[in-house]
Amino acid sequence: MGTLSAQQPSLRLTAPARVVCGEEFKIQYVVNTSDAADLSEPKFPSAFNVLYGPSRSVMSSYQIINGKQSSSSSVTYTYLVSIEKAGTYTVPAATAKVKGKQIASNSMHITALPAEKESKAQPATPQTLSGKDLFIQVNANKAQVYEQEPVVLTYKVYTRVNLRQLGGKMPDLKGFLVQEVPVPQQKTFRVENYNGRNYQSALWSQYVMFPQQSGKLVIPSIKFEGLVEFPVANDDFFDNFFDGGGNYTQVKKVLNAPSVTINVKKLPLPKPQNFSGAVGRLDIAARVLNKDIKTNENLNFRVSISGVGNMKLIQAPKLNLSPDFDVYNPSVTNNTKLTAEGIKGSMVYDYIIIPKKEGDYEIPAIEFVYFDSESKTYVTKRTKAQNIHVAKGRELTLEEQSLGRQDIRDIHSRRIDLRDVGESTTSGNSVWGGYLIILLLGCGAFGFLLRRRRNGQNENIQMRKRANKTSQRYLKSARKQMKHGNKVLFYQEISNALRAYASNRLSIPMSEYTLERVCAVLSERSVPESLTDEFRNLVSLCEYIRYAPESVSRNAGEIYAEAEKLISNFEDVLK
Amino acid sequence: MRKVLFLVLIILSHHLCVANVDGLKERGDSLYRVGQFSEAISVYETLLKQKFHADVYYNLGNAYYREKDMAHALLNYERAYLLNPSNQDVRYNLSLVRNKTAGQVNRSSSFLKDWMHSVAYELNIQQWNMVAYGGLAVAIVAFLCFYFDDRVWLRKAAFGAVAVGLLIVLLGNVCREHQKYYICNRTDAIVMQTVEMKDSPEADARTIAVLHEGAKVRQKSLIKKPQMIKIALPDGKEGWIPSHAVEFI
Repeated sequence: MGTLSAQQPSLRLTAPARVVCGEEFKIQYVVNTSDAADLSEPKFPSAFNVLYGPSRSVMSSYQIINGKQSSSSSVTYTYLVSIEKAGTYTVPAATAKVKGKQIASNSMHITALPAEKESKAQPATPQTLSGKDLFIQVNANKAQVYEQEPVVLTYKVYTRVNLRQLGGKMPDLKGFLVQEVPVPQQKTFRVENYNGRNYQSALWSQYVMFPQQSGKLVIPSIKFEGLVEFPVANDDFFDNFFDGGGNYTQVKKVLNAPSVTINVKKLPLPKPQNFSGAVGRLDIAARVLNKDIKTNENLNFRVSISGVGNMKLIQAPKLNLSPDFDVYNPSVTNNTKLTAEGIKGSMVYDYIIIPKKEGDYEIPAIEFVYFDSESKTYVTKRTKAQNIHVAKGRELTLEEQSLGRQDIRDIHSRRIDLRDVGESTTSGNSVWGGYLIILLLGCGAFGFLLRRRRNGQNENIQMRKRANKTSQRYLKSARKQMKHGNKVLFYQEISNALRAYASNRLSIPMSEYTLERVCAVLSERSVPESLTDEFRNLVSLCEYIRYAPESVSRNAGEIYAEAEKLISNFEDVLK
Repeated sequence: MRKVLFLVLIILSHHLCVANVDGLKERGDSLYRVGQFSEAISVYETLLKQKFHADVYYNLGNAYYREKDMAHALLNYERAYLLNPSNQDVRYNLSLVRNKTAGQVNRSSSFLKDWMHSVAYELNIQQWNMVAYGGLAVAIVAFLCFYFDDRVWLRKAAFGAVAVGLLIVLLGNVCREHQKYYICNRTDAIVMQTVEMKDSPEADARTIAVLHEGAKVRQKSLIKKPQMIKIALPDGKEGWIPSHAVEFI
């Protein structure tokens, strides 16, 4: 046992804070080492009736955690006591000797509640369970308040039975801003005397209510549902043996918490002009957070409002700074806690101020007017005015200047025609007029183009007529020459017929007429290559024969037919 | 004789009235220039009682801004923006004042709706008309090409251009009507003084939120209640506030 018990030897007194007269309870003195000796006999008040004691019990434990050994032991001296008369008593301290040293315990107060008048009332059964055995009390800390002044509403449950569960909900309340005070989930019950009977009581829930309007505001009765457990007396030996004798039935019980009326008064008139809307006990402070203040650099200015009141409804205080400062909306930090007194803590408003010019300035005092709920008057608190010196900081870059959004843009001073304003922007007539004009222009263009195309088509037809006419004329004269056997003239007429047809049909003036030009136009108008070649061959054949008429082996009739067929083929292709 | 006199009087009075309005903007502008902002405000306000124009609202907003009345400045910039959303000065000053007033609430409407709304407000009504006219002109020219030309590629392109042109006409008209709708149905309002939003119009209603001046709200239902209107915040929260606390844009 290498470990030393590092803890100081101590002697502790434990006893219940409240007891009922005539009921026995334990008073214990606990020493936290085992080698204690000689507890001095405490001198209990005369109303204390020591039924038994002191009994000494020694307890020791020994544990190894992560290889480390530790041990602890204690000695408990227990007295079994009952008190005969109601009242408040002091349980005296005791002393003990530990390792030769004398140590003393604490002393404590104990309240003895009077015993119940109905001597030993029957414990409630599921059949007799009544509102006297289990009920809920509501308590408002003030019956009369001003608007915005918090009221604390406390729901307390009193029970003489074994209450297992309890649930109830605060309804939505009109006229109040309601906030629930967090209370521990695990309720601690303590004895309390109510109307001559002793109950186990516990704080069930607590609300802080901020009245938002004046008048008689009613908090309605709330329905709670409880589950109560009763032991069942069972005489059957075997049942008791196997179930351990602990049989219970559970009974549901509806509890109605009474309604509460709160009289809310209007804040006294006249309200000061710059009243902030805050009600409570508050204070305001302001300070500059920066050490050096320079132009175009952030100056952090902190205003905090602290105290108790309706903190959440306070507006950010306004700073009345000279136009040489740009003030941005403050960021708000909420450092408040909901307590039974109201919302307590501080609201911190951090302003970012950007000085634009160097020099000495004063940040003026901020006035904060609130309604003091204790003195029932309007109170004005002022921060101290602060003198600051703005040193020259960096220059703004051009980009920052444009981004800085220092000022609005200038007014529009162009002349406007007000006579038809209000109609032209909203009425639809002018719009459809515009469409009509565009559509009409479109129709005009359409008509014009249509006419031009039709003319073009007519021209085409006329050209074809003329081409056929002239070529036929030449062909006719060629036939005549063929009959006469005049070969040279025959070929000339065939050549003429082809030339006349091509020049008229393809609208090539005679002056520009060449065989190459004709071929080019034909290929442009997507006439098949074979047809063009045929045409070229025939024309060159005719030319050739004109100069060497004897060398032809082919029949004149064949040539004639070929020319005629060629022309009709062209007519098929050229449309 | 009497009738004629009466007619002359009517014509004269009409003429006089128009003449009055005519000079007012210039007078307001010159008062503004010399720093008489509150006088400029009253001149502009008289003018706006008879005729409304984006420029006058804009100038009035500037005058209120100089008087450090941010709520009214915001209100008038919003009106100017409604009538002429494409003006860069209006946009600039509006966003500046919006940043200066408290209570910017996040919008909760859908991205697509926001986007379409901002597209429609890129141009003003006249500009959208011009866009629609341009679209129609493109469509007609393309149709003529399609109808009269023989070249296949050109006809194909022209067919597409007709469709595009007609779509542009549709776009221009939709955007213009969108803006007109908001000009004719003014449901947006600016909170002019700090006010508590309640959950019902009754006197004993619960407070849901505190609205500060400069907050933008939208009237939700047209149910007439004495001095109370139902509104929605940009984040969708709904409630009732006294009607005297807001001014419609």
